Amino acid sequence: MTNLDHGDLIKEALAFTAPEEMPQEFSPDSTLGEMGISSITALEMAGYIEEKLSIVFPDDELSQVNTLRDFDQLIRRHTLATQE
Amino acid sequence: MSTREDIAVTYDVANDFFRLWLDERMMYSCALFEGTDDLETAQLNKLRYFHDGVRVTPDKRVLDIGCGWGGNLEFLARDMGVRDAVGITLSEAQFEEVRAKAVPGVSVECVSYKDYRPEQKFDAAISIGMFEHVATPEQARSGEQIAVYRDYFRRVWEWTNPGSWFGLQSVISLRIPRDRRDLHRLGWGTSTIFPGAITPRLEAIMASVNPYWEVMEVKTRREHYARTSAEWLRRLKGNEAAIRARWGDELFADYVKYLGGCVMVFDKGYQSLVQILLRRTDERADFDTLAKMEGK
Repeated sequence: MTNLDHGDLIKEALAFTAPEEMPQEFSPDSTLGEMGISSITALEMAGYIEEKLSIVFPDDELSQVNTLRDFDQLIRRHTLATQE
Repeated sequence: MSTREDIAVTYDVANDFFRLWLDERMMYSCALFEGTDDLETAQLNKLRYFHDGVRVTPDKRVLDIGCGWGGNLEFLARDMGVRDAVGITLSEAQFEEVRAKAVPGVSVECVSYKDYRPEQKFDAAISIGMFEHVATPEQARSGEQIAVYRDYFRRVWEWTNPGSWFGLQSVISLRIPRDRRDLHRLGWGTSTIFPGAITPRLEAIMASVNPYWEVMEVKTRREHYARTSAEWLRRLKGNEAAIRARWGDELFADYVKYLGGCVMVFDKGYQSLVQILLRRTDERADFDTLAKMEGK
């Protein structure tokens, strides 16, 4: 996925949780809703990524995720935190 | 704030429907199961907790924000001798019920807290299970909820006299589920039974009371709400035939699903319940410990 460090992982999470919501084109700065990804699917995707990377996102940060770029930054922040 | 239409979906189904599975006072909020297994007694425990917590005495003018069917107002006036207990609700059905009871010392208005302009100030305020309607899901998603909550706390501050206490009870969000089934169940309950409402996070409440209120006591009661919901579900199922006959199969099925979902979210720790006692942030001589030590 263009310009996103964890684009492939996000796509994998979506393919696993709700393949029917997979958009034709990924736009990092469009809202999840605009791309047809429901808020419930976004939370499930978060669960998939948490399990995959053995991390846990704080709910307050997760609830602020509106775009794929937000998602990517959230993953980056928490993978960096576990490496420190 | 939930709209009048949202509120009608939640509370205006039919008073007789709620009467079949709530306690005798019709308290549609978490009870306090301390030293009892009986819902009626546990609801009374909760009302006593707030009565004592906000230092109510018969001469004090008390406001109940989101007064429901008037259970707390009636308790304050009839059982505790309060001569001026005022309730506000946005539910027409609840308003009519409270007005029809015409309990001496109790008055009620059908009005949103955002439009409420009391003629006289209050000496104490209680709000049980209404705070979930203050911010909308959209406001929470856009990060506006603290400003909305702070505006609510400012209003209650403006309606009260210096030295007043404010008792607040609300469901709080603890952990967002990641499991699809649980997410759907939680989402369904919110959109179908409680449209326009959102459970706050405890830290959002703590952040927004400032600068109007000082937090004096915080109690979380997650297991108490699991027990309350389980008892409501038991009573609902016990009245299955009557409910199906009068209101139809769909309503019965919806409330079995909803109350079962409530038990689940509290059992699994997705949500909890908080009771908070607040005191107005006014200058107070009784806190001047140094002056007292020096005998001034």
